Amino acid sequence: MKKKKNKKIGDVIGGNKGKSWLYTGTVKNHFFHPRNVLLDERNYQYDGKGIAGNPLCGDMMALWIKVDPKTQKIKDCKWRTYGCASAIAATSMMSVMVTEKGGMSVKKALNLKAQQIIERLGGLPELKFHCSVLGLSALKEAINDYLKSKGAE
Amino acid sequence: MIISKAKGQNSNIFVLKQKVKEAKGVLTLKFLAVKGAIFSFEPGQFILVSFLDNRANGKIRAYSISSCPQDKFLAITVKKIGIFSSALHNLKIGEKIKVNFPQGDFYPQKSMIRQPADLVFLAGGIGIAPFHSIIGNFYLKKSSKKITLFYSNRTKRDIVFFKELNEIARKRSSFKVIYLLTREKSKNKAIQECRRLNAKILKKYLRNLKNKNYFICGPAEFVNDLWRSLKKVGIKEDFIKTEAFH
Repeated sequence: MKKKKNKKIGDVIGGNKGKSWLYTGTVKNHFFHPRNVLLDERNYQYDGKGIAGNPLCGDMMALWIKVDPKTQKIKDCKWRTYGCASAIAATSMMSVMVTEKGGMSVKKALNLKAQQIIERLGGLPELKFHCSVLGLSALKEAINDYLKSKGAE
Repeated sequence: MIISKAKGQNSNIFVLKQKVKEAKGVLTLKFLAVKGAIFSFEPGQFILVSFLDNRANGKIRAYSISSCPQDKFLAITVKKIGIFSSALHNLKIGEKIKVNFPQGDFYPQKSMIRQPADLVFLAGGIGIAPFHSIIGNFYLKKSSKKITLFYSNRTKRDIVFFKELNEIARKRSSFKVIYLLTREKSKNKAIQECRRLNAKILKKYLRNLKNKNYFICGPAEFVNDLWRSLKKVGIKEDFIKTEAFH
């Protein structure tokens, strides 16, 4: 068989428009080796839980956080999704960002933006921007859930 | 944007009362609740809209509220871009939609309003919708909070709320609006810049970029670019809020 010329083709050839794109090495790394995934939450003690997504199209995200009551910093962040490669990579990166360096404060995490996550991933195709919002929505839900339960105590 | 709650509670049925043409392909739809009063919301928040029948394949879409809490109606301002927005444009007076309770934190918090830092709004195209609600609310409350709005559109015909924004700017010295066009040269005196919004332009009108609270809303590309520009000139994350349409 004749070898084809090594033309650079995208990692993904998108839907109806036939656009192709490449994922950065960081995106691929987080997609193939997602951090902080929780497959079974039954024995996981969490302080806040958030669910986001669209049950109609099937993209769903569940996310759990543990918060240090003294410092108000996020100690642990676990998640699980039925989402696409970008949603998986972005949420994986986000879970790293909110827990690294001793954890992000709850206040700061409420103002975390998709742009910050995308920058850490080394970029995401414009068409996949909305996928990076899924984890963020669930994170904000989880923080609000934690703040509510704290207020109720 | 597609976000929805797994639980379907807190949904309300709203009926269309009025349609107002705002600009090329842009309508404001004014609704009333079928039962009782309109829920309370913060200007800048968004709602999740869906149809009661199958006309948009049961899809749910997020729209920023463009009316103020003081208004007797609930309004969204919709640009016709796809199946869902077209279906909204074709909605007839008296027809009903389902609205999920308001959400989002794209609004100046009370603590932020108390701070001496001015507010700077960066709107791209239909990204003006939440700002219309926020600016209208400040105006009706007779607030003296300093606000500068940079409003970028492709052409003059795309500018939504043009007259209304100019009217507020004329009546209130605390509110300033700077219009930008990216695909048209205009000699209209009201249009300040015919180029893409960037940090240089912000500096030209604001002089000092520090000690301000920035809100960016528009297409993802617009929001991402300006967020990057602000970060580059040293604006801290805490002073930037973003909301992107995607």
